[in-house]
Amino acid sequence: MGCPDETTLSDFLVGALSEERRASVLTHVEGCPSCQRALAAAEDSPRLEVPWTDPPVMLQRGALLARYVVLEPIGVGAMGVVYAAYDPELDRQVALKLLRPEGRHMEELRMRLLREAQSLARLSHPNVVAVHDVGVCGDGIFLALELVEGTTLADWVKSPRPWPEVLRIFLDAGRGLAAAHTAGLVHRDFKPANVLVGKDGRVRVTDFGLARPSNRGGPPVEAPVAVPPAPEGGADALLTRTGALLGTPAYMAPEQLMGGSADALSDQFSFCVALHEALYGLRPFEGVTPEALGEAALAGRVRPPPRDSRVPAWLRAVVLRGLSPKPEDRFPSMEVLLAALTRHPVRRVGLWATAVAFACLVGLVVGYGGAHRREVRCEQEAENLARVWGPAQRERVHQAFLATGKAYATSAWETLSAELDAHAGQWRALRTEACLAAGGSAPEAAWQTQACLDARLWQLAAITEVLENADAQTVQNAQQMISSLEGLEGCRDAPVLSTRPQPLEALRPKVDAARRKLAEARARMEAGRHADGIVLTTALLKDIASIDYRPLEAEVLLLHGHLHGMAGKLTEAEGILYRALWAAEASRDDETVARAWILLIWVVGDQLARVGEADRLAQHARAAVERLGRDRFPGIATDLHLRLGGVWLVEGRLERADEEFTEGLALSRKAYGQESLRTSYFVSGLGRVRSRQLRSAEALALYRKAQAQREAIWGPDHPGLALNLSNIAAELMSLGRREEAISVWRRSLALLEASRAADHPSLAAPLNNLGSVLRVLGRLDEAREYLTRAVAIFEHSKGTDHPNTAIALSGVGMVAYDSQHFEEALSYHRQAVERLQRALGADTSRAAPALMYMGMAQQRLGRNAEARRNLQRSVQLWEMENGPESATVGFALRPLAHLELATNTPKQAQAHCERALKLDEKAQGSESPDVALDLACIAEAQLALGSVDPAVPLLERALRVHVVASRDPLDEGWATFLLGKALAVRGGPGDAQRATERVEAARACMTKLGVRATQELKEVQGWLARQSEAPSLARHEVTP
Amino acid sequence: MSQSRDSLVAAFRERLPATRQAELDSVEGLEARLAELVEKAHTAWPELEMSGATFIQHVARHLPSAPVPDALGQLHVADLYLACACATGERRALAAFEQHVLEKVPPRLGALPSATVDEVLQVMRQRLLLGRTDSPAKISDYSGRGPLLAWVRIIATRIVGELASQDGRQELFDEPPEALARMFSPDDPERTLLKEDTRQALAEALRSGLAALSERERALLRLHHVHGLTMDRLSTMYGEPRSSVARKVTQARERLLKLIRAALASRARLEGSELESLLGLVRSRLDFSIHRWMD
Repeated sequence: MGCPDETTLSDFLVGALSEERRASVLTHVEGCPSCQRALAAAEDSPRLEVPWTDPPVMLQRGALLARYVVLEPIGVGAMGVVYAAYDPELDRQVALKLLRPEGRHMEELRMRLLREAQSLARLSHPNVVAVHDVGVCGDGIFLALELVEGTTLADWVKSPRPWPEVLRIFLDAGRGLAAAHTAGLVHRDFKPANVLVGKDGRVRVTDFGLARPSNRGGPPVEAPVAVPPAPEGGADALLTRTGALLGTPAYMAPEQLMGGSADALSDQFSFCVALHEALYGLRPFEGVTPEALGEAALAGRVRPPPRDSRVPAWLRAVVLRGLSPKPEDRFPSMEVLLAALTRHPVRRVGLWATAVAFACLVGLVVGYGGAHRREVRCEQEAENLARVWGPAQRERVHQAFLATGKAYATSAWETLSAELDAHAGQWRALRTEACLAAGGSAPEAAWQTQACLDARLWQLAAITEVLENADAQTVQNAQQMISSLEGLEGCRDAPVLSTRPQPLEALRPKVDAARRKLAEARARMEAGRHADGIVLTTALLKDIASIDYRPLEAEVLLLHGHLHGMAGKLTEAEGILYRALWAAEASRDDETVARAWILLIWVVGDQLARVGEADRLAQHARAAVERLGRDRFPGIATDLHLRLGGVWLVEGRLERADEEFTEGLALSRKAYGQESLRTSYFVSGLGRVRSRQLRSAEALALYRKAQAQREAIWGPDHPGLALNLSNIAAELMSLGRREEAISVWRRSLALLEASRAADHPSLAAPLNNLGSVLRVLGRLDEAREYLTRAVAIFEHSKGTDHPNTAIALSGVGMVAYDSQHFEEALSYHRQAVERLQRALGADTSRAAPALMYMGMAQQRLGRNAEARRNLQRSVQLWEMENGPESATVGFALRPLAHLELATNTPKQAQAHCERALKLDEKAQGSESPDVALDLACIAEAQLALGSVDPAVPLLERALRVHVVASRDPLDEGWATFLLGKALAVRGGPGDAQRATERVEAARACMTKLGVRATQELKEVQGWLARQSEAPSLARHEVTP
Repeated sequence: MSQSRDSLVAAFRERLPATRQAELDSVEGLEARLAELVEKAHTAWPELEMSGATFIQHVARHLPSAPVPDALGQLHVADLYLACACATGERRALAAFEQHVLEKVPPRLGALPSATVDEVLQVMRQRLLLGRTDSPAKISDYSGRGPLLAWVRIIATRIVGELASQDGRQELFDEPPEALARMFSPDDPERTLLKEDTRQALAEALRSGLAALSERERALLRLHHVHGLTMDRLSTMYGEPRSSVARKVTQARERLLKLIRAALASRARLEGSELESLLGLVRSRLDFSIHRWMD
């Protein structure tokens, strides 16, 4: 017979059928599960609102939950599932308990569970199972618990035990319970099954009332745990209404059974029920239903002890008091109960742990998916990336870039998107590879790699978020912003080392939010808006004080310090960076430790130029980088090379700087390629070394190469180009290509002034350089203005004693010299020397130029002895620093020669100049401006010695060099004059005519230079005057 | 006025089976009673536009067998009106049916893949709402004696069953043996896990215990513990007082426990305290486990 139709069943449910029809339908229904199910579906009983047929969704082995990797389920509970899981970060196993509250007050329950779990996590007691981590996972929350190997007290008491042994175990469990009570936590379901007896012998209470609704406060969740007994079928109602396990009524205090609230005293009751059971092998109250149990407990009907029981009477009395029906009759607290239990000494018992059956890791292994399914899953997991850098984000960033309307936006976008794509591609590849490997035979390492990679995704997320809101300055600095993206390969090669410290899951949203703000602050810094950046990091430091997560503190302090350094607040920067360092060390954040040391090198060694300290900092930084691994963190390793190279340059240790930059260059080429921005920094760094070694042509070539690399990345209008342009101009100057140099400097200054405030530190260098070249051209007022501005900026941003400040000051002194204000010039140069010596020590070679200028001024003032001393000292310093064969020595040799000439010792003058020529030819080739100066110098000495014939070709050669490599027009004019004079003395055929032409040219040239050439012009005019007085020249006349 | 008064009665009479026509003569104030029904229906579904006469004809067709005034009182008027309007194919009625009835069906279907749920709903729409040329939509069969939702849900479970048996989708209701065994892993996993052999012993005992119960006992346990039908509902279905049904449920449960205890005790390995603790476990999980075992 077929099933009754829906109308019949529906009528059956409401009693609308005739009696006989009802009976026949009932008969059918009783034997027909399908009709029973249909009736159940039609029925509107509240119990069915709970999706009771919903089996918990089981996580597969290898699935990730937060950072944990699921190993296998070890049990299914009323509100969720517990898994054995692996924590890749700490390389240990944990029990992962997932709680999924359901029903109408789910959100409230969820929050309460979270709060309780968090307070439990803070409760650290040897007799309470440790909660390592608490977090939210979808609708539910999860707890990462200590995974205890051992058995439960319920199993443990199954074998008969001597009472002292039982008591000892219970005392430990009681201590755990007492600790929880002290922390304001109530267990609500204490029973032997909730006490673990570990393999290590330690007793731990577990499963605090997390899975059970609270009776205290808040509306009840679902059906209450216990309802007042119904007149009939009370136990049934209890069982059916919740549809889930209730806990075991046998251990509940009567007030709990009656639906009252559970508190510490109810826990005490439960504890005593369990203790009674363990001591006597029987529970204290008879009855299976909650009503029967409650009734017996309320009546105080405790079973009599078995006859053969050896449990002492005092112990029984203690237990019975704990079992008092009225809470106020029990012990006031667990502590008092425990004290009562320990009043009598317990005899030590022997080893018992051997008898324990270890059951905790027995579990069900859910079947592995096929290889294909894993592949699909791995691809899906790797798709997390799309949330951070997917087509949508990519397009938004692109649009943001284009919207700035900047000329360099397109080229910046192309480079940036290519790099981000590459980074994302690498992440995806490594992540998929690790995921697939996690299915292999040694999955732990693969899980660690996965966790490490996932943790690094936030860096990318923080950056793309800033990029999506890019303004012109962000676009300008996009390159620097993404330079912090690294460490992915480290995740594969050494995941434990490369894994960034992770916050508790519950903290993660706050930490992520803070890190996004941090990325914004970094964007400000890269954009040169240092003050803005400091405002952000200052606020952020306040915000994160409440998060109490030290790795984050370290990250924020690091940027805070960097920003202060960039803003020229160097003393503050140093203090802040040390704080960053300490926070990073406290939180084992090796990466931030290394970055902090490197920034300290920059602040202390370079910007503050506290020379002695750089070496020690360098050692710290090297050690930190070594710990991270140079190849795994090429970004950090190259940073170190770059900063150190800069410090060695500041200290004038050119060989070391050379090594540092060369090493960094090789690493950067390997890690980032030939055309990367980072590589270009090393190329220009080497340029700086060559420049300081006076190998101008090489320096220029290096700077030009760096320039090409940067323009390819940035386009031609990027302010970041300014510094290198300035370097190029300086080398052009050294090579005598004055006009080129000026135009390059002007471009450099224009790029900077377009994007920065008038007193921005980066303006100092181009101002200084432009001032110097204008001085050479005799435009002294302009020069003085630029140079004074540069000095002010240097003093403000780097401090009064910084070498850059002193050298700029010396520049102003040279303007004074050219203005014929020799006392003033002397004073500037003297200040420069003093400052350099204060900063770098009495023997610093950096003071050599200023000493030399002092000597020159002193000579003009007629203080020849002082002049000689200073000039000789500068030669000596240069020799000490760079060796006697160094070209820098030539600098001071020429003024020294002039002094010799002025003091009528032309032989010595000639020797000095010849030595200078030798050095310069060797270092710079035979066609450099310095060579021309040396040639003229020798010729002048020879003229003074009366040997005209060799002087003429020397001067002719000098002038040829001046024509191709003109540095200082005054030098050229002077050589021209000397040639004219020499020709006039020689008096060969046509010499007189040529002599007149030369001298006239010299006069014209010097006139153009104005005040600057006062002295030289006076000599020319004096010579001309003498010539007009005695038109017929004696052939061998020597002019004094 | 008199025209309209006559009209409802006339419409009612028109569709009433010939055997019951005579009843109407003795009913007083019939027109007013019918107008009251129409008013009630319109109040429940103000957005639906269906003439009172059409509805009254539908009422006549489904009139319960009780004497006319009582029969009218037994009807779920609003549900019947909605069903009638759906049968005429009115668009707003169909929308209301979708929203107020159909959407409440899936939570009662148990754990089904969402694709299956969609399929069930689709079949239901076709079957209930689409008329054929030769027959009206099935929803017009709804009698109004019970709630429309209950009637619809019964149909839904039938369709689930059909879908399961066609296409070989039998697994919808089948439990793999491991899943049954897993049932008795305890609820909180930091705690003890039953040993595998103990778990199997329990499963076996439960299986044999259930088999030893009478069909009526199994049905009572299943309807109450598994399907959650209340004692009041069972009392209606069984035509017995509530207390009597409740006693039968309790007896069936205790008998099952005894059977299980006997089955477990017959296994030599289980000692007294272990047996008790297992039984405690069975007791506490009875509803949960019966449902798994009986399906």
